[in-house]
Amino acid sequence: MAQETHESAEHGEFNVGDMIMHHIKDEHGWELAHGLTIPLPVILYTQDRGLEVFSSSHIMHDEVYNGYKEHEGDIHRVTATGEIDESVKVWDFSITKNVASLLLSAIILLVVFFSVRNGYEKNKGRAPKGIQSFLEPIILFVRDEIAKPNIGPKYERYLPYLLTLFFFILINNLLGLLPGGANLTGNIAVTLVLAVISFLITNFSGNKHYWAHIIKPTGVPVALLPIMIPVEIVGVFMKPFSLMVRLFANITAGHIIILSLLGLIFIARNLGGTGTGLAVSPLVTVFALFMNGIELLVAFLQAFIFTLLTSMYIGSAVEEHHEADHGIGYEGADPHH
Amino acid sequence: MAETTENNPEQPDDEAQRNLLKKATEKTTSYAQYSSIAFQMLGTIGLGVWGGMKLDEWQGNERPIWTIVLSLTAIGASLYLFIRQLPKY
Repeated sequence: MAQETHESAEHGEFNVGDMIMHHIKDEHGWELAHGLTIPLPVILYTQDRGLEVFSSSHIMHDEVYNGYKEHEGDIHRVTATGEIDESVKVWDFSITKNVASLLLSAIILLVVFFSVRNGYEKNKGRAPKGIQSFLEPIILFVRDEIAKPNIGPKYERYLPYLLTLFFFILINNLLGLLPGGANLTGNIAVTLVLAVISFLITNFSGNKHYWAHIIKPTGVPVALLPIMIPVEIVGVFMKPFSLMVRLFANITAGHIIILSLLGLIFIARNLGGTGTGLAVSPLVTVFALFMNGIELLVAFLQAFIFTLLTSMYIGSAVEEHHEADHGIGYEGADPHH
Repeated sequence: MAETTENNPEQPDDEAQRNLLKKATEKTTSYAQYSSIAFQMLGTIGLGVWGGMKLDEWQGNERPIWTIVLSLTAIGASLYLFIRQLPKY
């Protein structure tokens, strides 16, 4: 995602922080390289003018179009003199770079998995072929190593969600590593939505033991209940919160590290001239390649962890409870005894 | 997992690879669990402090009594939630 940075350095006044933020953040229009931007539709809603749609190429270089101007990533209404008019609330439903990347990943997932499904129809009773044989072990891994051991006997009804989650995060992590790719899974709004879906599924499948533990934790004195119930409720919300923050932080941090490494080249050039810049670039390239390799691993790891933790949370909500199953040894380890 | 290894008695390589995968999965599972708990503790304490500060601001307290009480409660709560999620041995 970082190769295009070579071009984005303004001579003499190169700011690494700005460069990094520019690559991490969402934008109107998809900048593949400096000077090569794919315009995307800008969709705005304002109370006085209603819905308006135009191309992002009109507002690319701080230009004013149709009374709108982009300022630090947000689109504002401007007055006749060109000042930003804060009194008009602009609802921005644009197909931004992240939204475009999301739609692209959805198309890729649909194409890939429909071909896998067709593979199972065509090769019924025979060995899998092509992309089907590449994905089958991963699908089985999610089923046998993630869903089954963590959810238990009722794992089957959650598999469609867990598989979707796994492959959605994986494909978007990988797309984010491509040069010019969008940082979708490093966007906290996207991870928030994923976490909220996991939260809803967990709590809607919670059985009576799960809720009993929250409303009346076993072995807690009645006097402590006013404290313990809020604590348990906070705990319910903190689980998806940790899912959201981890994915966002890991992906964003990985991108920042690679971008900072590449930024070193330009810092060196600004300090000691073109020669110094050229001198450090081989070393930086090696480090950046190494980090890219790590990021490749992280892309798989984070998809795995998100799915794993989701299935653990679901598992804790649907498990049939200890007392009958495991006897005293289990309860004895409970902290509130 | 024992069944899968028994199914391939003539393929020691395959078996070794499966064991390796199993070990890696176990390690990642515990890493995932503990790092998740860390984020949960951070979130719990953050929520307590934020809530306390908001309450103090709302009541216009001279001494940040809610911030103190709620942040301490949140630290206790985060420890409780942490211990509850430890594997039960």
